[in-house]
Amino acid sequence: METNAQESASLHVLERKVDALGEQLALLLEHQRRQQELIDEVLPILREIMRVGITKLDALEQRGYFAFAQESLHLLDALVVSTPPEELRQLGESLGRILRAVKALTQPEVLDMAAQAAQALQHPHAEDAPKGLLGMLKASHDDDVRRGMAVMLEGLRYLGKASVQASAPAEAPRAPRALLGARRLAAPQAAAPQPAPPRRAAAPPPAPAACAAPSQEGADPTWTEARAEEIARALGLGGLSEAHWAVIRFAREDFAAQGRSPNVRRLAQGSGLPIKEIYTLFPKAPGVMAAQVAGIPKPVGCI
Amino acid sequence: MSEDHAPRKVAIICSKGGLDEAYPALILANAARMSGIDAFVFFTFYGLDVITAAKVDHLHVNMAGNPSSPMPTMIAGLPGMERFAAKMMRDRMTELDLPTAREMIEILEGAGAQLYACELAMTMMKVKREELLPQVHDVITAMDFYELAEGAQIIFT
Repeated sequence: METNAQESASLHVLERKVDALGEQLALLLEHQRRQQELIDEVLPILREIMRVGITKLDALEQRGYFAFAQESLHLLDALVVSTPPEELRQLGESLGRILRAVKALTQPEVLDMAAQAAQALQHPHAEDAPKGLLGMLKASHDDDVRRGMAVMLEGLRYLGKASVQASAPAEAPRAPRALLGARRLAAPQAAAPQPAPPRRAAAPPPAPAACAAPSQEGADPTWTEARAEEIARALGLGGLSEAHWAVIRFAREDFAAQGRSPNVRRLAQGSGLPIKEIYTLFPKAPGVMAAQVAGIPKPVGCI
Repeated sequence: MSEDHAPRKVAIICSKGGLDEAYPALILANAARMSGIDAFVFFTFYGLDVITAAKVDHLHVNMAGNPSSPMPTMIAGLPGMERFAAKMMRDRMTELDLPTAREMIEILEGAGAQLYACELAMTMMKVKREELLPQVHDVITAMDFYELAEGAQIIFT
């Protein structure tokens, strides 16, 4: 009897489980039905969206947007590859100026003017074109031509000014630069226009010694009066007279003052002796001989 | 300048009287003397102006027909232009303290360069001996010139 009761109990449990399963199955079926309904409803809408989207994209494609984008990418790539970072930095620094310039260029009146100029370029009046120099002169009587010339001249003036500023040495590195070429000039500025080096290291005051460049050598530091006598004897001058010494002293003083050896004429002027006397005192190349005895470099120049 | 050889010598012929034409002869002669070279200058034809007392201070520069002139020939030919060009050149020379032509002649004499006038040219130009500068050593003929120039290098300007 006991087993019978047990069996009926488990059967009951089983029955309940099957019931629950059936319910769940019904629920699931209901869900699926709803989903199917939803899909059935949404699909046409999606299709419509797809259709419209494709038409739109096709239209864009036909108008060249994609090709443009692709090319733009290439362009950007090329730009990135070819632009070193420091240039980009410079570009960023001058962005404000660029924008200002663009703004100035896109003022309506400027654009009008450009349009008119372009029109004139497209339809030149060949028959009106001035011929030769006289034609040019005649054309310059026209008021419009004059105004145009004034504008061009003014523009040239600014351009010139700006180019001077752009090439000025680094004293004013932040000075406003011209649109044109300024950035290009900015980089090699350090190496660019060095002020011309002084022509000679020790530039003496312009000495009145015609076409004579200063001597580059210095005076003999070991020179003494005794040494002068020795050199004079070696040159065949014999003993040095007071007149000789006047010339030698002047030559040394003048060399110290001017940085160049005096020529014959200057020796005569400085020592107060006539040229003839200089030639007698130092026969044969007196300028050179006097310089040798005085321990200074040979004089240079033509007089 | 070696003493073993015969002394070097130059003979310079000055045949033109322009300021720019006279200076080369004068400067070359002076430079020769400054270098210890014997030098003499033979003044002939218009070169006589350089040793004529009344003309030596008024040597002109002819810009007309001179391709190196900064002035177009048409303008250079206008009256007074050579005087103007000469003044410009003279001013520049003064600025550089270059001696004047007269002074150059004096320097040459002091330096021992000898100056000769051409006899034929003097006859042709009707220049008398007393009109020449006192620094002129002598009046000679072309044949005398060759005699004097023996062993010399001849420079024609």
